[in-house]
Amino acid sequence: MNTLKPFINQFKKKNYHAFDEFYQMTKKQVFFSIVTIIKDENLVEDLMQDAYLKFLNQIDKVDDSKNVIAYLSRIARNLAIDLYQTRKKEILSDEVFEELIDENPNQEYEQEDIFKMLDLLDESEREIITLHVINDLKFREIAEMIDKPLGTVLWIYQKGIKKLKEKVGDYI
Amino acid sequence: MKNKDLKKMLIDKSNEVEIRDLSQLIMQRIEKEVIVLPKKDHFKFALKLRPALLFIFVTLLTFSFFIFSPRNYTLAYQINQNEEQIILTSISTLQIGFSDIIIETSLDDDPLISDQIPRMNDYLLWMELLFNQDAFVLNEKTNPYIGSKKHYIFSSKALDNQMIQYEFVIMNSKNTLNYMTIDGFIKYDDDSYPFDIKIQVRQRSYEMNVIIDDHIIIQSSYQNQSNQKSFSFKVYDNHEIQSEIILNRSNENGNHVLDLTIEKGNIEGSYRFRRDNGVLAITYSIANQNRSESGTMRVEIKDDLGDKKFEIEVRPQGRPSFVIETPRPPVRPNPPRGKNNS
Repeated sequence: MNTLKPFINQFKKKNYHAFDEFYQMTKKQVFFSIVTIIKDENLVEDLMQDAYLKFLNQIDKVDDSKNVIAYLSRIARNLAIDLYQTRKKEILSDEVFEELIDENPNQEYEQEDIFKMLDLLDESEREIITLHVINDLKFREIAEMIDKPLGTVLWIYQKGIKKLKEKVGDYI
Repeated sequence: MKNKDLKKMLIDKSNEVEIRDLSQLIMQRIEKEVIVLPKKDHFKFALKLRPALLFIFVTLLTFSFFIFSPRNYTLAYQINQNEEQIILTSISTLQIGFSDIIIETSLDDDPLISDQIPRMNDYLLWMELLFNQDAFVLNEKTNPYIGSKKHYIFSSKALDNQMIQYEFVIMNSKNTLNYMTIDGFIKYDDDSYPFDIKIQVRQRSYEMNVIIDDHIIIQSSYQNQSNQKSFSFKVYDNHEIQSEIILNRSNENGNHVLDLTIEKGNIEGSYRFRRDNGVLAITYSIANQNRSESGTMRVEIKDDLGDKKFEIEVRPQGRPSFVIETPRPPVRPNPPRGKNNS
């Protein structure tokens, strides 16, 4: 996203005057990178803050000729996975994802249609469809991010899309 | 349903999700950089201005004594015992006198406020004293210097209870209908400083011009407008104004608010000071020729193994916060170099 290049240049100079604008332009992608893994509203917001902070603190490593959204999404996703793994060890349960969901049902995003749709998918389908459709990442970038072959990513994506096309009418 | 319709639906639905604006929280959490300013020589800048500015302080403070002595100086009495603002003026002038008038401008990428911290350091003590006016005490000395007309001791306390004290000795005074002239000397520690001033007095306001030497003139004025007391301080060098500072003191919800405005200088702007549970809370807005900046600061006095320091947390808008630790200036002003007349 070349439109983000000027922001990166300013951030590298420790000038954050335009951070609010940058946040507004990127918050959806960061949010969905996390919420496909962690659904608790408070945790998602904490992770969003952590993701942006990590992004700004290592801004010198950001190559603004590449897709900044992909870089930001990767940071957000990795933080979410780290938390997921930590919680998994703490809870010692195979139902970690559900546990995280059930921690505070009043504060989840499950009321939104988009979450009902994504919940029709399994974890890998949900993540790949989110990253490609909502975050607008290329399959090659997704494959690199989730460390799976490009062919596997494409296959999972097609499988998920097919599932949604079959079921989405029942939920919308 | 076609793939593109499904994708559009996903995007549309994702756009419906309300995502909280966390940008301010993120800005506040950016790792704070702690900058420790070295102890500075408070008299390294503009040596010729230092004694001049000290003397204007002397002048104003001495003037305040005449306000306290209306029996002898009827014109001063017309000011209607506005001792508070006179003392305010005096203290203010003192701290202006020990502040840097010109400060180097910052690099393009640095927050403007970062270069104002040395000046701010001086203002902080000024504000500290102004917020602590209840501690002001003025006494006439019972055994004055031989030949003097009056001999006073002025004392106050900073917020940490450190004492500030001066002695003022009035040797001569003359009154006319419009003017008052005074000469004498000020004394603190073992040093004495002579002064010779001419004061123009008007009811509810006053203006004061003090010619320090062939080059330096200090002009001060005071006005009382409804809820606001306004003080102006101008420093002229060779008839060119070098610095203009305006101090407004007002009351908001029963609390004192001090607004400091720098109207002339390479960086202009305003600072609003409030006391907030022992912390000095400041909002600022400053600008140079190229850019402007606003933000907030919180100032605490810390004790570092007996050395007092200001810890200033600076939050420039749109930039990361940082903390500056800077030695607190001495409450009792150091004497200007080369002056030792005792």
